[in-house]
This record gives sequence, structure tokens and C-alpha cells, in this order.
Amino acid sequence: MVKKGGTKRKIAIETIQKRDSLRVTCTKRREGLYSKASQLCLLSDAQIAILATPPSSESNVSFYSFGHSSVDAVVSAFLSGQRPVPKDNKETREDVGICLTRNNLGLGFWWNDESLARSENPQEISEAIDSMRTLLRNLKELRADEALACNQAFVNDREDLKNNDKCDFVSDHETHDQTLILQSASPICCIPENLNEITQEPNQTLNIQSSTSAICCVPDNSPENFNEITEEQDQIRSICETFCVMDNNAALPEMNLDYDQDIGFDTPFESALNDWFSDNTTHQEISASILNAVVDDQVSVDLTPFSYFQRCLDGDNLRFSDCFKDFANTISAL
Amino acid sequence: MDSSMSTKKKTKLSVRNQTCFKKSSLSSSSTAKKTTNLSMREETMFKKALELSTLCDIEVCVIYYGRDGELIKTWPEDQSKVRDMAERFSKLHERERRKKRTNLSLFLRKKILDDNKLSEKVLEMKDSLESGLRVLQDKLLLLQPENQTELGQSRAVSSTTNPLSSPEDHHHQQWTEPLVTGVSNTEQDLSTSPLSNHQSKYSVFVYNHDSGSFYQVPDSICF
Repeated sequence: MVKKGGTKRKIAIETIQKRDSLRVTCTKRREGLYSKASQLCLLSDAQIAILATPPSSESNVSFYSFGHSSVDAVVSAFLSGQRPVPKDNKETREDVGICLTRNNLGLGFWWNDESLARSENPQEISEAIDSMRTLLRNLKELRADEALACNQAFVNDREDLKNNDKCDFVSDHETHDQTLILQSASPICCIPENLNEITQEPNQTLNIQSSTSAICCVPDNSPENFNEITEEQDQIRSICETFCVMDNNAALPEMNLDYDQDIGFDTPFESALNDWFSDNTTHQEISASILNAVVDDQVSVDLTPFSYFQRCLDGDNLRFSDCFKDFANTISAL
Repeated sequence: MDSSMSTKKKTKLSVRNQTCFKKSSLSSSSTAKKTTNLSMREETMFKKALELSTLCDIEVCVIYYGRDGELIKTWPEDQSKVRDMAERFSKLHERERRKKRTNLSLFLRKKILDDNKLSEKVLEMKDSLESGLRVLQDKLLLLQPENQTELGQSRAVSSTTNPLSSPEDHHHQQWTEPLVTGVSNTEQDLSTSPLSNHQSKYSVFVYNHDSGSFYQVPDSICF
């Protein structure tokens, strides 16, 4: 029926025949009913339950329901004839929507209450402070959800709410990972010198790898120094690889023997130098006697390592001798 | 139409009564007006339930308890219908009941998210909350000088978090030890080069395990 003087009109309260109009009307008026019920709950501290069937029998929803404190509590209280359990006051104080709606209805915020302002009880004030902090945290979460929900239709299901909570959890986890990465970076740059004393010797293969990473991680590096370090490292690596081959052939009991030999590293070295000089002198005399003609220094130098490798190859391990066979072939090619 | 018009006028009057209720200092008169206001709101709710059930040809029931836990009113008035519907609801499986179920908290939260006008009010609420929090904290400090010990305890609690981070530092130290080992090994290897008698920068020594002796390879061949 059309009313004069305004653009809004009031419809007759009778069943709507159009299916689409019926569905839209049902949704909107149901929300309106919930809104009125929520206002009444806030104003009078009442507990209300509303149940509604879906407009179509083909719907996959059995009941549309609204309740305060909860639908199940009020319905079970009604069926059993008992009084419903009163709502916990703390949850009400810490809910953003409830506090905001109470303010809109003219009841004001609970933390601006005169009784709280006049209170001299420290316990009451500390409880109020905790509730306010919780409320502030919930408010920030709500604003975050509001940003998420800008482009999405917010479905009023708890499962969706749980999914949103999971999304928040994942984002927090990523932040935590970044923090760990930053922390782990710093120890490499500043290695304390005291660790040298504590150091133990693991496998030499690992030593090579770790030394490489240690040098590369040094922040202050000029290109020239870097090149020098690389050249020295190549030489060191060739020596270390020889020892690695030695270690691979040794079993656990024999490791002790190798370790003893490592302890006496310096002594055989000095004696070896003396032996080398004496042998070199002897071979020069022999070569002079064999060749009647004038002997070049270059020829004598060439003969020396060949005879020495013959002695080396006699009593060595098979794998070790293979390395030196290749080496001998290289020398013969020269 | 006339009855609905009168109802609408009453609604406007109730709004004015609400304004008077805010300003009025007499508790008895404010209580009376509050009761009138609430009863009118109740009637509005039940009326809307009636309209919803009639327009959409669906079943609606409302169960209304007061603050003291007493059952004030139900709609429909006939409690047998309400009980029948409530029993059907309670017999449903939990998953079925959870569909399209809402409560005051979720409903109001959704309302805030959907309505853009409420964003400003949320900001106002936040400012009021923060200022109120500061006021109460200052008041609490004035009331209880002993609270400083609690602050000390809170610092002690914060110090207990340091051992949680120290295991990580220990883990990093363990991880960095091989690096230092490599560095020391490099130094040991570098020390061998000064011992060579030749002028060349590098020299190679071959070690014989049987005799325990070293042989130096001439530089002209190697380099």
C-alpha cells in the first residue's frame, strides 16, 4: 500500500509468492530479527535463543539460529525446565563488538564507569587493566581481519573463522623464521679467538671444505688478497688430498699408528732432507762415471727423480702407487 | 495501517524517552522508563518474528529468558510448538547444528566488519581504551608503591627468557667450530713452505712410508 509523503512503502504481511523475493526477504528480515534480539540482550542482560527453518525444503541447512549466551545452552535449559547458566562477565568485557555496540546504544564504555574511577581496590583496578589490554589486543586483531575482509564476503561460519586464525598463525611463523635467519648470520662474522684452544681435529676432508667457507665468509676482502688466498689454498689442497688418500686406506686400529707418525712429523722431515742431499751427491758421481762425455746439469737433474720413484713404488699400497704412476707418466712426457 | 502508524510514533517516543533516561537523575523514574523501553523492545522483537514467519512461510521460535534466569516469554505463545521445534533442533547432529549458527559475539563482529561507518567508531573506542588504560595504570601505581617489586619480578621473568636464547647461541658455536678448525689447519700447512731450501715459492715432498723418509721433487719439473 502506498503512503503519501514518502518514498518508502509498507508491504502487506502475507506470504510472498515470488521465490527470489521470498528468499531475499527471508535473509534480510532474519538479520533484522537478530539485530533486535542482540540489542535487547545488551540492554537487559537477557538470554535469548531464536530458531528459524530455511525458506526452501531443498536447503542443506536444517536451522538458522541465534543465541545469547549460546543456542545450545538456552535450548537445553528450556527443554529441561531449568534456568540457564549466567554469562561470564569477563568474556563480555573483553569482546570488541559487545563493547562497541553498548556504546552505540548509549550505555557507554565500561572502563569509563564512575564506580571504577572511584574504586580504591588495587585488585579490581589490576583486573580492569588486564581486561583492557586483552580488549586492545582483540581490537587490533579485529582491524587486521577487517583488512582481510575488504574484498571478500565474510561467511558467518566458525570453520571460516578457524581458517582465518590459521592464516594469522602462518604469518607469525614466517616472521619468526626471518628472525632466526638474522640471528644465525651474526656468529659467522665474529668468530671468537678462544675457540682455537677448544678446537679438535675432525676429518681432513671436512677441514678443506670448512676452510673454504671460512675464507669466503670473511666480509673484508680486497680482490688481490682473495686471489692470493685462492692460490695458496690450491697448493694446500693438493697436499691435503695426498693425506686424505692415506687416511682412506687405514682401518681403525691402524689409525693410532698414523696418529703416532703425525706426532713425530718434524723429526723424520729433517733426517729426510739430510738423506736427500747425500743421495743426490752419490748419484751425480755415478752418472759422471757412466757418461764419458761432458755431463750437463739438466741431464743429471732429470735422472734423479726417476730412480727415486722406482724406490717409492716398491713397497707402497696399490692405490697410492697408482697416483704416482700417473705422476711418473707426466714426468716422462716432459 | 493506523495501528502500524501509532506503533511507529510510539517508537519515536521511546527514542526520546531514552534521551530523557540519560539525563534524568531520579533512579525511580529512570527505572520506570527503562522498563517501559525494554518492554517495547520486546514487543518489537516478537512482532518481527511474526512478520518473518508470515512473509517467508517458515517456522520461527523465540525463547526469551530474563537476567535472573526466569523464562519471560516465548514466541509462539503456545509452548508446545516451541518445545517441538527445540527438540528437533537438539536432536540434530552437532555438525548440522553448527551450520548457520551464531551468537552475540560473532553476530556483532560480523556487523562491524560489514559496516564501514563503524571503522571510525572503532578508532574512537581504541583511543578511549588507551587513555583509560594509562589513567588506571597511573592510579594503580599511586595506590600501591609495593607494585615496584612486581615490576622487578616482571624483569626477572624477562631475564628467564635469556636461557631460552642461549641454547641457540651454543648451537651456533658448535656449528662455527669446524670453520675455526679449518683456519688452524690452514696455518699449519702454510708453515711448511718456509722450510724449503729452493728459491721457488712452492716445493713438493714425497713421503715414503717404509723408510719414513722424504724426497723433494725438483722445481724445474713441477712448476
